[in-house]
Amino acid sequence: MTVDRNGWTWLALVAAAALLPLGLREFHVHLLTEILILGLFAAAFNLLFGYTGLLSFGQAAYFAIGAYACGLWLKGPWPSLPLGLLLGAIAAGAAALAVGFLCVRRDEIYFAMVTLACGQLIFVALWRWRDVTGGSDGIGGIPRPPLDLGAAALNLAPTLHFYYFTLAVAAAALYVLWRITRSPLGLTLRAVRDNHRRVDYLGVGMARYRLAAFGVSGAFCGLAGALFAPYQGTITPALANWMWSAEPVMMTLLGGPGVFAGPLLGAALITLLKDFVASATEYWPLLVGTAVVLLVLFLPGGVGGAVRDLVVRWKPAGGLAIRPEGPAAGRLAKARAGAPAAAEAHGAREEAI
Amino acid sequence: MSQRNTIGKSVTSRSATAAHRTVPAPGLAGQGLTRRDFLRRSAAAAALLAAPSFVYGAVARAAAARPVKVGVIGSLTGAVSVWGRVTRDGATLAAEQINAAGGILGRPVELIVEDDASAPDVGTRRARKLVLEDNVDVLVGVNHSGVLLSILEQLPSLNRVLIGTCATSAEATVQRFNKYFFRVHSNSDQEGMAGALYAAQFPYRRWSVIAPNYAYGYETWGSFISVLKALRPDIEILDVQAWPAFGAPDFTSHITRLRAARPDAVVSAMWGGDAVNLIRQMQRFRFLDGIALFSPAALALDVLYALGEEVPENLHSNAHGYWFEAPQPGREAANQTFVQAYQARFGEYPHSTAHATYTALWAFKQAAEQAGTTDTAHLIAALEGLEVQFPGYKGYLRKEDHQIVHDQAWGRTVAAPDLPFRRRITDLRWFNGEDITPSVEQVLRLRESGDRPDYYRYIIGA
Amino acid sequence: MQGMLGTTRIFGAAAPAGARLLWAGLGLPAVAGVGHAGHVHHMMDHSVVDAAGTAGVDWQLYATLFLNGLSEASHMYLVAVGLSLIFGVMRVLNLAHGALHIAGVYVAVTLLAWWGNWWLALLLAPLAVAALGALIEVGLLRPMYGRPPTYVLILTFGIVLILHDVLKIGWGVDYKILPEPPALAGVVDILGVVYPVSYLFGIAVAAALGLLLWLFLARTRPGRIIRACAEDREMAASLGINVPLVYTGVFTLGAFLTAFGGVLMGTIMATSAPEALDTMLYAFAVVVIGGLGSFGGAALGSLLVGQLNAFGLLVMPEWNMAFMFLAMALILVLRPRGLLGRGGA
Repeated sequence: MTVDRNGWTWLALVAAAALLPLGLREFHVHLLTEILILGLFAAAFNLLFGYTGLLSFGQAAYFAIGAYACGLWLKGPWPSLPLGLLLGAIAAGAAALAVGFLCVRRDEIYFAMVTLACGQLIFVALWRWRDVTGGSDGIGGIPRPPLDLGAAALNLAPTLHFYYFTLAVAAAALYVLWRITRSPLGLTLRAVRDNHRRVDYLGVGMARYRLAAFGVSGAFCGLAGALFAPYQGTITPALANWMWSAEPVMMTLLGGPGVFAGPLLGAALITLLKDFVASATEYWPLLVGTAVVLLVLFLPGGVGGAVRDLVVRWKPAGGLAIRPEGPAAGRLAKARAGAPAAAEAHGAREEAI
Repeated sequence: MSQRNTIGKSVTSRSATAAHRTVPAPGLAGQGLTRRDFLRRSAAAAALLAAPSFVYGAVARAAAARPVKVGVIGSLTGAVSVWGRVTRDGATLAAEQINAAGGILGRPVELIVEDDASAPDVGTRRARKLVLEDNVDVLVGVNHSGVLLSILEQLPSLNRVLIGTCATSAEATVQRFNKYFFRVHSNSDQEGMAGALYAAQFPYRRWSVIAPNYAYGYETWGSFISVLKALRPDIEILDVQAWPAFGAPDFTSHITRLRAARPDAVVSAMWGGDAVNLIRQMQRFRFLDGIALFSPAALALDVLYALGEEVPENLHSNAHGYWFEAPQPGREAANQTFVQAYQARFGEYPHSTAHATYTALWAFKQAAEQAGTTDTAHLIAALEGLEVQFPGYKGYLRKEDHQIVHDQAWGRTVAAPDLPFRRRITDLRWFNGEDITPSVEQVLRLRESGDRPDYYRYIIGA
Repeated sequence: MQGMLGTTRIFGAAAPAGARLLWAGLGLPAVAGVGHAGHVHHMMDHSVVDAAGTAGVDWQLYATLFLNGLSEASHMYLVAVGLSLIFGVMRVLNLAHGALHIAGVYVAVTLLAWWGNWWLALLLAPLAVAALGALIEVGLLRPMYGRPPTYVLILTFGIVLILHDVLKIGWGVDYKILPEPPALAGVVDILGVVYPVSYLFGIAVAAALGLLLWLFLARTRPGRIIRACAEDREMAASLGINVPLVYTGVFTLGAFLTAFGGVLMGTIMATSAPEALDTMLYAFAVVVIGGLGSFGGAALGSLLVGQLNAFGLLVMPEWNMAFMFLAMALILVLRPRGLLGRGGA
């Protein structure tokens, strides 16, 4: 089996992420797990925003549906984590298809409003359907059943073990998303983003593609939510609220919607900042709001986009991007945690794939 | 949204001897560098950047061995932000006094305060951060019952004691009991029973409720009305009830609907900003002309400070468990000292939650010194059965459910021109702690079965 | 996409559909009332008494609920009409509108603390917020002309977060409420319906402002200029109209109206900074139902949502608030441009 350079980069990144927690305290491993889950959430959002050109202010609803579906399943008679994740993704994807049906033909502003409205409808349903969802108190005590690996069962209760499980699932999901963006479907989505009327004239049926993107995005948001349920242990209807919908928007904006790794980068930055800053000040919304305003006004491509633009300018005149392969890439990725210069290089490499 | 797109520029050339060729590494301004150099430099940079954090961590850890850290969790933002503030204030006063008296086991007390924003997931994250990142020895506080029930589940894996000082949901010490949680505040069962014993003396027959639709609302109403029904079989429980959301500001339609059902008396479990809104809106609509109001928390001090004379007379309440002017008989001197110290420090009278949080810190000191350590297992053993001295009353932490048992008083509001908020609670009737607390057998039975209490059938339209 | 501002009559060409739906909207309370009176109560316990059974058809209850609906509608109208105006003219969906609404309350709290006169605060607080609105428009939105609308939307969301914390920093986290002026204290009692004067005043003032606004847009020259910009901004610009100035003016007007609604609302109920976001949800429901960009739609939408919330409580209290979003979803499916909206979505 030949693995091309992209495959090596992915493997290297995953390896780096696997090695990362070994020097860190438990609390930081918690943060890393959250970064992975939120990064997946944001990447799924970006499939709609960056690649299809649709701003959805209601993706949190699918996150929440995934979380509740998985949470309820895990508290039932046959708790199985893989099954719970699958259920979460399917339930969320189905809901997204239903909502998408209502709104994929609308233009940008109406689309945003419809997604917001439907998101709130789902929020109210989760909140009011007390008998099933536990109402405003939510569902607590969601277990982490041991993972049956055939020969043995992996106990997921320790933070580190659950981190590795999350890493495996998130890496696989992100890889699938990434392949989608590189596939003919992904190219068509970009065409829809750039000029959906023209796509329609060409007879491609842009509404169908938008719907597909919406469904896929919803399903992966649901998967992120389904990971969140056993991670956090408690879930509440607030996970469907539009404030939570704004999280992937901010993360994507910060990291850069034009770069696949952008949302993940944004998720990492925001989660780390939140933890660092929240202890120092209670005025987190002020910081985020200012960051959003500045980003929109001056840096719409986000950090990832800015990095990529910088790199493109510095590339040698032949347009060749030669990258070290194999273990070197992995080491570089690991060094990214401490060395900004390497991070830039990484960012560039990531996009140029 | 157009971006420069480098997709499509497929790079196919690759050198077989790339490992030894000097290649331009992107981002380093075209300086010729071997890959090895580059890697060495990055590794060095990484180590250099990481080093200070290791050093800092070590120093911090050494320094941190000294103070006893207490993590305080309260709702510092949101509809009940005042309650979070008074939680912090009570803890602050206690910490200052404890440190002035030599600290705990000779070590100074350090408070780390976190905001849970009345949201269960935020509270859980904060609790986790306090224990794993800040290495607190104990957790104290929590205003919102939903947040409490969520944090409860994390306590075993965090291996820390939480001393609850406000949230009253009885589930926390009954159905969802876990040994890491102690509560030095009365719970919904006790408040409900005391309230019912108090209310039974009045002639009201038709009863309804306006309460927030989460654990606290259900349990407050349920425990109150089920006991009242047992004491007074003649009462009628109306099926028109109001269950607005916690934090929703508009009660006008609920009030209208309730009024049309013509109750004699209404129980309100609204608290914080909701209680301010509710009472004001009730006043606008003349709701309380001919309808009596019973409420544990709607007449806590924050509401009085906010509304003053807008609070009508003859409302019935226990001021959420502590009225600063009326300590238990025999505790006048201790209470006076506390009230004066609190006023001097914060410029206002002590809220019941401040009173409870203040006491929690002192109880923690007592238990830690009795155990000789702040280690959790020993702390739990010391806290069980501990006699706790509040400024306003005395109580003890019951071994079986870690719930404080103390006497409680209910009274009614009356005009008070001498107080800044122009109202006081008077005619206080004290109820014995043992009489208002469900027996150990009852508690253990419910804990084993895990059933919801019977009184949920009295909740309609929630 | 044409807004309704191009017409001089409130319902315009959509009148037949609009009128039908308006009657439906008024009929909702009637239906709910009948449904309630005939509702069979499922009694869980014989100690739980069927409260309604003792009252018969309680028209006083319905009248009070109807007035509650009007009162809620009056607050929402003042927010929604500004939102609709800004969208209709500038094609900007201003997420910060709710924050400006709440800012009106906070500024009024300060003005009241300084001068002790509620009427003065009612007049000046909205003016102060209007000035803030002008600053926001000129400073932050003007650079965004021509950028994709989704980015402008995100920008306004950033503004919400900033305003939210500015209010917290400047005024603290405690809940704010404005004391009633003595002139508006008290209740009126008409045939057994007891209703507070301040609520009625709010309804009257909102209606009056709505009328004034309509006259301004329909009958005055600046109004015509605004409508021209809404219909076709390039044409308007080529006719010599200073479009950026009009935009600033419209944003300022919208900010004034929403802050005015805030002062009225803040006298009735306590608010705090997080309300800035909740307000937007109500406003969205109103403009989607009524039609984004439609002035009459804002009025109709507020009326309907107000009554839905008031009477929904009567029919199905567990699902309070859901009716509003359900109606929103229904409209989006059946008639996406809203009841009185014009043009394609």
